[in-house]
Amino acid sequence: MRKYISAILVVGMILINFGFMSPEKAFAASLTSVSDTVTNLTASATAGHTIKFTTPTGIPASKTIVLTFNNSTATTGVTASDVTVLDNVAPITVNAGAPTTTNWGFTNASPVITFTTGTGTIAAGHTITITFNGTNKITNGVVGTTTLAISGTMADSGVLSMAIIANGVVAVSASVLGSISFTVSSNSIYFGNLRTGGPCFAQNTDPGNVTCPTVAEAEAFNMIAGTNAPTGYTISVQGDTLTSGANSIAALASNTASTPGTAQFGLRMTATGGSGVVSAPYAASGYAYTGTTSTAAPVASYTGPSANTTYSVRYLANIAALTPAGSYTTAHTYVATGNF
Amino acid sequence: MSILNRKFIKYLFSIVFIAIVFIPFSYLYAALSCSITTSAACTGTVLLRMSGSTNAHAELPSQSTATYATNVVCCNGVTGLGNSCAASNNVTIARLSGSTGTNAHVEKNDQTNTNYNSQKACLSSTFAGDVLTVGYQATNCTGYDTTLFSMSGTTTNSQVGIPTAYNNKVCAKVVSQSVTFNLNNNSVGFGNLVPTGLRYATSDGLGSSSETESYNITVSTNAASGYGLYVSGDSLKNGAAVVTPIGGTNITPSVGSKAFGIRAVATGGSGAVVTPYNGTGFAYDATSSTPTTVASSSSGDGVTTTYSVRTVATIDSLLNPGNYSTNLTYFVTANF
Repeated sequence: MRKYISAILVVGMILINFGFMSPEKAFAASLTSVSDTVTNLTASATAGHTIKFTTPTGIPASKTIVLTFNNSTATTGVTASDVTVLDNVAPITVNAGAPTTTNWGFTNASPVITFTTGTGTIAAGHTITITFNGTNKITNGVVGTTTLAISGTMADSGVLSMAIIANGVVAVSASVLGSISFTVSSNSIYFGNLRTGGPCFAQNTDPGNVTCPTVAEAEAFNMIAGTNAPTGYTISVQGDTLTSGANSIAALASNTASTPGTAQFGLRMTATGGSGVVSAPYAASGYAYTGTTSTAAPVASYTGPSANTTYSVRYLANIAALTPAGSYTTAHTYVATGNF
Repeated sequence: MSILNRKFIKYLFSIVFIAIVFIPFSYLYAALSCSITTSAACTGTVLLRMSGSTNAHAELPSQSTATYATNVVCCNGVTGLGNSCAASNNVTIARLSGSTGTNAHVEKNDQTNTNYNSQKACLSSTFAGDVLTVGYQATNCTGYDTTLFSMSGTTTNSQVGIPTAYNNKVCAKVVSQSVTFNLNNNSVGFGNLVPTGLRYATSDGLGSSSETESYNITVSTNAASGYGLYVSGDSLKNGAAVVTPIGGTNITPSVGSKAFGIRAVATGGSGAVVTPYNGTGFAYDATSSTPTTVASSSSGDGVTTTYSVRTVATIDSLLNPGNYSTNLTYFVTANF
């Protein structure tokens, strides 16, 4: 008889130890794969918690799952609506107080939160995921190791540790300086000797004593402007029309086509690249000049940050037969202003 | 004892031995160390007092019978160790017969004989993260930290003795959960970002034009399944203006484009930086509401891994001027 019993015991132990059956299915066991992901480990900070554990034994109906934090952790204010529960991937509804049919019950007596399973059961080997990430969050305790004990009337239990530290946040800072770039390609332009028989355009090389070396519209110089100013920039020009002592060549007040034989002074621009645009009256095919020595005239602008825009500037001068002889000059000052 | 009885006991011992040998052990152990000393010589925690070295009776540590003072189970090596059966974290090492806590026989902690219901000897810890385990096995305490004492019987109505007195050993171990996590700096800066080059954040806030460590993070745990190191947080922002996060692909940002990213280098321990943060370039695919995994370890070796984090940013020429900032929240989840 004893041999018979012993043989049974031997077979039984072999079955147990080689995994053919598990005594954990019948008795309490330690929870496995236990973790709590805390979204901020800073002391006294509020944080979301995602608690996971696998129950080797399973959880019958009407059993409690008690979560007990220590180290001054506070669960005050956390309600059933702040919690989601998954049985593997299947959601379990949680309601305040006692369980209702398959819904789990929820009570909170900080720092202890108790769930009570409903009429449903959790199968052995299933993973329970409890996430606290609602409006009301759990407040971390003080610096040090915090434990979360998982117990209750369910058969299995476990404990996990987390490191609460003084500050788990890295503040990163940087500065971006306001910038505006502005260049003018030439600082002297020349018409040569003006004429009545046709338009005369400025060029950036001195022709000497030559009559109107540039008879077709051409770029006198260009300007390049760009900025990161949130509301862009404005380019303006200030200075007189061409003058020679008390004599001057009339500036065109509005965009006007060239009329040889009539005293005219003006400019126009074209824009390429970036976002900048030429302002009226300098954007059309005619010419104009509205600046004075005391008044700046806006010639180009943009309303936001802009990569470099190249403005090609063309200058026109015509004279009448009665225009007094002399050396006519002027100085135009271009200013780019960033609107930071 | 008849030949049949001896064979039966031999079978049982063999079974118990085999069973214990095949039990998997997945934890690292704290250094619980117990020995038999006199009560006066014990500088640790007394778990049980015995009337002799063998063929002895037991009494609780709270008792003070003189004849039980020369053979006490004295334990140390674990911070917060105690013998309180009322502690929230305790395990019974033996149930004692009778109601006085002295002059008692003992039985295993899973027995339920009525005469042993009122007196228990316990091992306790003030730290809830310590997993306390007591086991009973033949011959030795392999798989445990230490041998507490030995029993004349296998289950109940046993006399007690020092560990070598009997073949039935009472064993114990303490698995102390540990997880450490530290940031060496909570504030870093790039200085002035420029569209003409890459900038790297430094701990002095001024930034650098060459790659350098912004801060480091140290992590260690003895959790059986290791840990994950995560970060959440937005890219650099100034109101609605954003330095574009690089995303989930490890690249070297193009000068003159908006980019923000991190990379990390691990040294020591078993932790490793994970994709996309383990390349020579940079990446950043977290947001303030969606963390991303920076590093992990699949097993806890208790050795500290240091993660050197480098942070890069560059801008285009159009980005709004101003002060840009973000908070990166790092957190570690140990998988016990």
